[in-house]
Amino acid sequence: MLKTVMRAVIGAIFMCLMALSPRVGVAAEFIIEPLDYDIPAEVEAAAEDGKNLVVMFGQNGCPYCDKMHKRVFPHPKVAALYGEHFVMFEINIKGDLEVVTHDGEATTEKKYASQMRARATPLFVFYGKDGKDVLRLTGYQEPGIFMTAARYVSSESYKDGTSFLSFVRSGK
Amino acid sequence: MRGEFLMSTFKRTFRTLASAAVGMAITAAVAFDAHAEMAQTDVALVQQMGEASNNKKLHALELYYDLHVSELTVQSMSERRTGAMFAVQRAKAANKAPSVVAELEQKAQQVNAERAEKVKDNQNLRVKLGEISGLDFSDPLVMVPDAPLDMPMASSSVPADLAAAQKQAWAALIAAQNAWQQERLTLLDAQQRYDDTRDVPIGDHLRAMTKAETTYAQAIGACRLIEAKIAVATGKPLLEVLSAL
Repeated sequence: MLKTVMRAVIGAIFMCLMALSPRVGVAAEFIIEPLDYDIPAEVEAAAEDGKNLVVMFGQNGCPYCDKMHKRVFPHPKVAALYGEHFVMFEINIKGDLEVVTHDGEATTEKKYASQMRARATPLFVFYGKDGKDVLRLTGYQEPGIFMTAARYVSSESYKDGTSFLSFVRSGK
Repeated sequence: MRGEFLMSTFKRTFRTLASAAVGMAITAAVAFDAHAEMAQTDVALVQQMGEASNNKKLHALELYYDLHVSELTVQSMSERRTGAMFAVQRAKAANKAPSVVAELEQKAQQVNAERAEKVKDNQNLRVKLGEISGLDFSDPLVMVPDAPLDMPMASSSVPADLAAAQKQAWAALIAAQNAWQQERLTLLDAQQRYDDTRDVPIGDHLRAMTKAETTYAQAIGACRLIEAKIAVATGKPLLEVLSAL
């Protein structure tokens, strides 16, 4: 009883703090704060809601990560499209938090970032509903391209061998 | 006795946490409300200025478009600053001559100072815009207004100076739009190649993209402002004209 009440109160405080943070705001619907960075579990949970997981590899002081937070995630069209089809969380490429990789291996943020060859940030890795990484995008993505990426992954266009670049050029 | 003490401690903690939660919830609701009310489009700006004079609205619009450009200018400077700092780090890691490192450090300091100036300009613009519009502009602007779709038909009722400015603004808009489209495809191609080979100056492409965005935002603002001025000069409703662009 005590634990339940405390958890509820702490949860309420956490939600309020999240609401106050300018990093979430409008984009909060698709950006999640996972309790543990278990990618297969998050892929599965997202798939249960008919959604895909996208992981943003970022780091402190990265101006392009900041630009994504300020100008892309809160964009109403981006927030609506991603809210419908995706959940996203961030991994700090210099962080030491424990992560369960898409292969089910337990490691740290830093090591997983290195394994995923994340050097320039942000790096977006989109996972299919089967947990495989199906698209990587490095660097700032303007809202139009970021939305095209959402359509490319959610429509599973990668399955017939269409590259993302061809998909963009086809104007879909 | 011990049970009572624990219960009382729990109640006290619970009460403190609960009141903190309520306080934060109220603050959050107010913060959200303010965020929701901040004009994220020029149409919302004009709408929220209500009964203010057209001259005042035009002045506010000019500052508003400038603020959009300023947001991207600050972003651009942040990117340059990161680039300059990385250049210093790379030179140190490569054991370059102290004179080379010193030169790069001086350049990084210069970029930092330039950025500080742009941040100051941005803050001044926010204050001025707040004063003239009576609205709050403390949050970042998210997106540049849409580029107008079609150039309105020439009309004899449009004063000659505004007609000439309109023509010029539209030509600049189309040029900036084409350059931006080209840059986003070039960047996308560079990003894909970077993932494969790593042999691509990705930072240069990213910075070029922000520059192209800034020029495009400037052209969009100029175009929308001239259309707003024409609307006022020819007695058309400003809000309708901006909404239709």
